[in-house]
Amino acid sequence: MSDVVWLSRLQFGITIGFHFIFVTVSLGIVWLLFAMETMAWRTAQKAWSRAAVFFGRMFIMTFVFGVVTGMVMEFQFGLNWAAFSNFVGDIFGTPLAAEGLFTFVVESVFIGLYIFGRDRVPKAVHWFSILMVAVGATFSAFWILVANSWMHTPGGYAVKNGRIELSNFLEVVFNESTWVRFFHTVDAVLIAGAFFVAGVSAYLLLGNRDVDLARKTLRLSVVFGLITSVLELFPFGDMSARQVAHTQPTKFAAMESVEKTQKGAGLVLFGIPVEDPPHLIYDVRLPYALSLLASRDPHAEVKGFDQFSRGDLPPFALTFTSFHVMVGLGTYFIGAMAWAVFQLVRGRLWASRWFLWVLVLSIPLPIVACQFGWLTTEVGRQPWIVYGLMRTADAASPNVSAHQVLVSLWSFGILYSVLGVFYVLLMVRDVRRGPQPVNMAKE
Amino acid sequence: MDLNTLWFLILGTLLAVYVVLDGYDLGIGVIHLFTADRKQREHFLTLVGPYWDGNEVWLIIAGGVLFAVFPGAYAALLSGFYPYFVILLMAFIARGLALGLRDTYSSSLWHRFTDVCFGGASLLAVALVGIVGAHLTRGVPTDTNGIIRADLGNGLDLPALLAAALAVALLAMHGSLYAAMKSQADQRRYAEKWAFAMWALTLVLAVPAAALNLNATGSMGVKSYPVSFALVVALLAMSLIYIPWTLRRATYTRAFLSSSLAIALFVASVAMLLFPRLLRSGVDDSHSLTIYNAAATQSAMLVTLVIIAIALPLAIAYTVFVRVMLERSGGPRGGY
Repeated sequence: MSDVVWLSRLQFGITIGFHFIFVTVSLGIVWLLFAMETMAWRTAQKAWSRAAVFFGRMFIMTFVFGVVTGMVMEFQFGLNWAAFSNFVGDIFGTPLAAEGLFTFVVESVFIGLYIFGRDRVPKAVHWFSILMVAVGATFSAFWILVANSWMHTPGGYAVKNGRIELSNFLEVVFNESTWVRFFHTVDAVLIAGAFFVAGVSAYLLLGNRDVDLARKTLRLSVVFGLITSVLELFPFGDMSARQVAHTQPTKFAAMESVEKTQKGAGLVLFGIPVEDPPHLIYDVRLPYALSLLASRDPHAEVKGFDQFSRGDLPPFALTFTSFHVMVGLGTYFIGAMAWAVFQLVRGRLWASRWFLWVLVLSIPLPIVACQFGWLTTEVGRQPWIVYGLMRTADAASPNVSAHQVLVSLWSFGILYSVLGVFYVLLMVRDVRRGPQPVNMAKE
Repeated sequence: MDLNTLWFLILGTLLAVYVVLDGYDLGIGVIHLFTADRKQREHFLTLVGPYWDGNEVWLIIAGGVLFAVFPGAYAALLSGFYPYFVILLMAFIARGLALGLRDTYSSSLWHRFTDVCFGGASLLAVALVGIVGAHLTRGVPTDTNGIIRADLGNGLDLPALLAAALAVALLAMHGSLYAAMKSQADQRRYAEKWAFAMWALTLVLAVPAAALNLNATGSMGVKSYPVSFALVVALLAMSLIYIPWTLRRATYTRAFLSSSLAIALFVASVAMLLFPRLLRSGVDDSHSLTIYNAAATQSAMLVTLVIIAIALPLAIAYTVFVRVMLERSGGPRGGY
């Protein structure tokens, strides 16, 4: 693989991964924010409206970071992946255009109304504006996941005239992994939102500030967090794993370290991945469990590395590790939220200082899990950019030099590092400052 | 008319809408950079605050639509002008964040920093669009295989820089006219002064910039519709010349509409020069990317047409609804 392909991959990974952080946080909290705005409107309780302003401000900042970093996404396919854009353009551009037309307009005009209309436009209109932002953001996720899913499980196409041509648009949109990926990703992001709101609320409680408000938002977020965390394991995670096992066996083999094709395959509980050839050392496996998981049958066959040529396998250690970090964190989320709800029911959540600290420190973990989940699916697709149809090595722009990408990579790297630090500082400052009194909250 | 031509028209319209809309907030950014008075600068910011994001979205939409219907042109344009578009994207990032985060700290040093970022990035973005526009008009640099290679070395010549200056002057005028329309008293007079100065600069730059970026082969397309082209150019000139009259009569809305029309006609005239090409090779016209050889299939174009036919009326309805709501509430005030 040439330098320019490596550098382009690195740049794409960094810019999209960075953008994904803000998507995770903003799409994660927008539905909780919508719940707060609904409560504020219907109950007219000051605590709810102050909570909405407090979290709304952090949402808006995250949203702005998401918008500006997202713009890069729309143009990167042409910038660095011109060969890819030419090859799949007949199919790939349409979901991107649909995303822009259907959702970006909604999001961008209603966020303006939400920000500048508070206490100025009628309450129902203001409430409607955050609803539209939430709906727009969710549909935006849908369309971009359509495009992404198509790269994993292409459908509705024909190979003609040396390129991919559209044959059935509905099969493109609802390709084999669209729904599974949509639910899995959006639910993961909602977990991140729940931990964000829970952690910030816990911080307020630890400082004994705004106790009434913080209890309300903590209760809301842990209940929401438990539901979303459990759903992420079953059915969404389970569906996702089975879908990968059947449509992308090379990725599945790397995720679960299936060295040899076998019946009654075991599920890895522990192991250290080693390359060349890809295998595990010190591995502990639960017999039959992987076959059961993949096919609902303990004796079902699972395809291993031996079925494929080495050139068709993804990087093993990175795929395996990313997958298990995600699964491990996902398990922790269920445990943490279950404990939180258990304590809530017993009436002991507010007083459990150590656990409130656990919630505060857990804020970044779902964001980390999302990044690793995304790494699993994208690295696991390699060496393909479109599974089975086009290799990543053939996808880069022929007229962009390694030198040019190196310069842009450094520029994005430096710019994004500064922005990342700045974003964290801003969020920490806002949390420390806490919710503002009503008259100041008006701005 | 075939689908390819229809899409050429829609894409041109989208682009014109984008330049008219984002053009005024980019233009306000340019004059904001050269405005010393803090109050005046803050007033400018309240004019763009709620709307820049909604305006910029049309560029993203135009990009997505270009990818969907003319993927060959999308790929060639972006990869061919790689350094320009990378800088442009960074300018948009800086600009959006400067606007969005200005009010997060109340220190005057921070305000000055974000103001310079917003103004500087606006100026840079407009200049870059002008440079790329100049190359599109006169023909893009292609190698013997017809692959575009425009880097900072061979792209920044005098005609391109003149086009950049013209773009800055034109949009600064457009932005000042928007500001004049939306301001009162002294702030209106200030914007008006800028509008007039930028109007004069636009007229001065227009002739040399056009002369140096046009050439005989580049205007071949016009031969098949000389009258319509002459009409568009005449209307463009008239709508520009009309602006000082509107200002003298203090009909500011008319001034802004006139400048919007001029910009739309400007985009139309460039489109007419190129048609049916999207990217005309400056070396060999047989390498040019046209609405036929760079297009998606007919079925893909039809699907995108259905999507835009559903989405566009909705998008316009949302935009109008939100604007009316905000203007009715006494206009935008304050910040984030």
